[in-house]
Amino acid sequence: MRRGGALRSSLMLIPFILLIGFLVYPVAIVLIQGLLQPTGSSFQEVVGSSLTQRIILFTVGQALVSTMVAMVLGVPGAFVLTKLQFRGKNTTRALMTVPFILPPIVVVVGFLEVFGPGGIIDSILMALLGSDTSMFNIATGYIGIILAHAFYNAPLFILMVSASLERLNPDIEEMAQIHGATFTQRLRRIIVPHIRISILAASILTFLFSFMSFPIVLALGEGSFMTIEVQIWNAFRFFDYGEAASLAIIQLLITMTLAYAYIRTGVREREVTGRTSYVRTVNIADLSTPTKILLIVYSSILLILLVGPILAIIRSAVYDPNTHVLTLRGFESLLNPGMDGGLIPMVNSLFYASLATVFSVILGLLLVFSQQSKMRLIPDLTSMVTLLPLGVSAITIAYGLMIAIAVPLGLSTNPWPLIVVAQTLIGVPFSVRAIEITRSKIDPAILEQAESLGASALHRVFFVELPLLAPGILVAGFFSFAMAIGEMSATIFLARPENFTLAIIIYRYLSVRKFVEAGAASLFLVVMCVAAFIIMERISENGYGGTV
Amino acid sequence: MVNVTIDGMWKEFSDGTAIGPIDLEVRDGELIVLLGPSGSGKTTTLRMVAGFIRPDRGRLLFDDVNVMHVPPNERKIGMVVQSVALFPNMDVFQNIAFALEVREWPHEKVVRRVEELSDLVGIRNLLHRKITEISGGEGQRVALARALAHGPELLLLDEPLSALDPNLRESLQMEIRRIQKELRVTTIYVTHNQDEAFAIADRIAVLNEGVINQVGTPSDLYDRPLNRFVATFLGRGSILGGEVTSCDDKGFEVSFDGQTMHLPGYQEVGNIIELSVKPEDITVTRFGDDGLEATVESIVSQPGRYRVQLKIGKHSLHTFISANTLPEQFRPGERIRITIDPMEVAILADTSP
Repeated sequence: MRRGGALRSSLMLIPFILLIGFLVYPVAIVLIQGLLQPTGSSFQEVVGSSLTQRIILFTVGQALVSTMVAMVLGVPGAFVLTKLQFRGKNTTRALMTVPFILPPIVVVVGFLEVFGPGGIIDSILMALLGSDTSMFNIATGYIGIILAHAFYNAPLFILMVSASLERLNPDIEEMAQIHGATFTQRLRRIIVPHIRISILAASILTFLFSFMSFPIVLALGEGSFMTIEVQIWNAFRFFDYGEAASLAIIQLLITMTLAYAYIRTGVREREVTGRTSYVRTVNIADLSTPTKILLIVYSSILLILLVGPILAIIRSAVYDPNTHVLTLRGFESLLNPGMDGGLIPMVNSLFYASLATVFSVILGLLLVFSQQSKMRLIPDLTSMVTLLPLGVSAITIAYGLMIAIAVPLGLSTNPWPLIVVAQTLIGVPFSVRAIEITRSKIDPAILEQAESLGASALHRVFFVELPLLAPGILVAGFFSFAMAIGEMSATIFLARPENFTLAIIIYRYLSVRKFVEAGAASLFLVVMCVAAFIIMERISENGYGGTV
Repeated sequence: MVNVTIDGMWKEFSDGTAIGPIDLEVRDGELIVLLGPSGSGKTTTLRMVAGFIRPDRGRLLFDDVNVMHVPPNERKIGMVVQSVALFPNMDVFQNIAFALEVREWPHEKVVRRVEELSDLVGIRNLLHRKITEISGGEGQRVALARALAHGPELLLLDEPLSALDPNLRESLQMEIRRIQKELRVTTIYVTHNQDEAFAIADRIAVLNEGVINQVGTPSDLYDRPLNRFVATFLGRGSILGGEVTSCDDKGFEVSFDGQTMHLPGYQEVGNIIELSVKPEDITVTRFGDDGLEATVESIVSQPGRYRVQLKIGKHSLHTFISANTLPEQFRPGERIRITIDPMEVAILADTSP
């Protein structure tokens, strides 16, 4: 019995030691170096510089605008998804999670293909108006950045707000209506107060996402737009470690405050919302004509924004906008083992992502087990450590790993293990969540049965608990894999040319206008992520798994 | 208040179920109960009157004005539903004041009206509670006050008391009745509970499978059910079916399973008729030659009485005997005699099942 207890405690300690070693310690070193022994600019200089202020202002500003745009695009969708009865509703709801697992750099390729110069919309306009110069581009620059952030976050608003709307007892709305409230009065006095918290929570998450966004700003900003995250990378590239660390501190302060605010809203939401209610739905056929027209316009916008870029990646893989011909050059390049080819990055991507998947699932499992611990503080501590990677930007994690581990250990010449570490850390919160959902669905009586029948703790874990957790573990694995294979921020920070992954070469192809090559590599990543998504959905359909 | 006329209202749903055609007149100041088993279309009918469901056909008149195309919020209706559906983000006062505030009443008037109503339903002391801090019964009082605040011309109550325990339900029934009479507001009350319907209704409309079977005062329905459904659902009566074998000026004779019974009135000889017999109109004796022969099937003890299940041929009947009558006299399988009060027997007009 005592041996079992000791084993359990040491198993529980492993994730803590790893997370402290590879996350808390490196980030702490970043902070200490930035504040106490800056190489390059000091904290005061950085904070005082007008460039920093401009960057902070832009970062916050674009995050605010992105949040508003995502909200405006997403909230009506929540109403459509909740209140309207239409075919394929469940599929639509499931598809809303696809953007979450798509690599940002791939979305950049899709955006350029639909909204960029020479893209689908531009080509149509040129053909219609008989022009041979490009006349439409909203993919790059400020609008492009905002729209790409909306691509990721409008579905978040749709899912979170519709989940909240489903908890609003339809009788309440009808009582307001019958007692004289007009549509606007019901919206203002009943519906908005009810969904307020879900809107706030989705807003904080969107703001955090846009605030820490890296590949999108880097690629669509084309060097003229810089967020804190991009500037940390720049500063590091130009050896101003003081500036990089100072910016990381500023960023960390803001993200941690927001992450804390988010957790607080989560607590409040659980307090105020009751049981899930049945929903009274309206058939599309019963809508008035103006409402139908509005619905068609809205769905078309959403379809172009959300589905367009994903589908357009197929075109981008075979159509060269430079020469206007269909070509398989992109795929040839993807299989080319040479210096500029895609084969080595593809192998790297698969190799790093597979390792990161295995590690993040093991860590996830151990963390879920320690969350069940009856010891004081352990469950709280676990939840905190688990959420930490969400509040620390990928660039800061990578920067920390670089200065705290790669440099002292001499790994900086070939830092591939740290790429795996970074990708693992980024996947951990998601794998914990997926395993947790399955764990919460296991009937505790089954485990008690195992115990009462005389199974030892180890027996119980290996023969009862783990097999029951299998669907959650699979979902965790596929989710982590999708996150890892598309990861670009930390990877680009850490990688030497021989460590390049597909996400990085897509970015490099884009910057030298090799669009078909970028398209083919993107298509490969999309296929990987969508396959992961389909498998996850299949597992979740059986009622065991779950992700978001 | 208002006279409500439901005229041929009919609705078919996508799953093929249909409600109607419903014809019903609710008189000014009257409390009419829509009574029926679950799934009979009571709530759908009420929701059509409220305007939440648009009927495919028919008219709905409030004092001769067709309101079919008037939206729910302009129909001057007050409504209470089973789930209470109080606004969770408002306190009791704000809930009651809701209908007044959306109509932009001046604040002093709102306060006066809310206080008046809270006195009427007896919740003055709860006005500043959150709705999570009041009980189920108090919640229903608040919902009633909210429904009455703007002085609706029609009050719709959809199983308002179903979620409450029996004692509370009875006292609230009486209170709803008192308030309704005091305000003289035309009211449609939906319930599946016969006792509740009898306790509260001026008239009852019995619904089954989307159609109104019979409308009348509680005693009308109880004593003169029109069909088998109303007889069994309301009176918990037993049905005897037989053929009219003779008829003269004293009455007619009906025969079933080899036994005959004399009843007053006129029936064509050879007619197949159905009779509804209420349990309290059956007298059971062990001896003698009067009445009909029956077999005791079972005796079940109930508070203060016994329920006796009987069989005459293929017909089942039931009656009650008081606890003072020795139940040992009636053992299952024993043959006994019963007499049925001929004046209380109802002949069902509609013999379709």
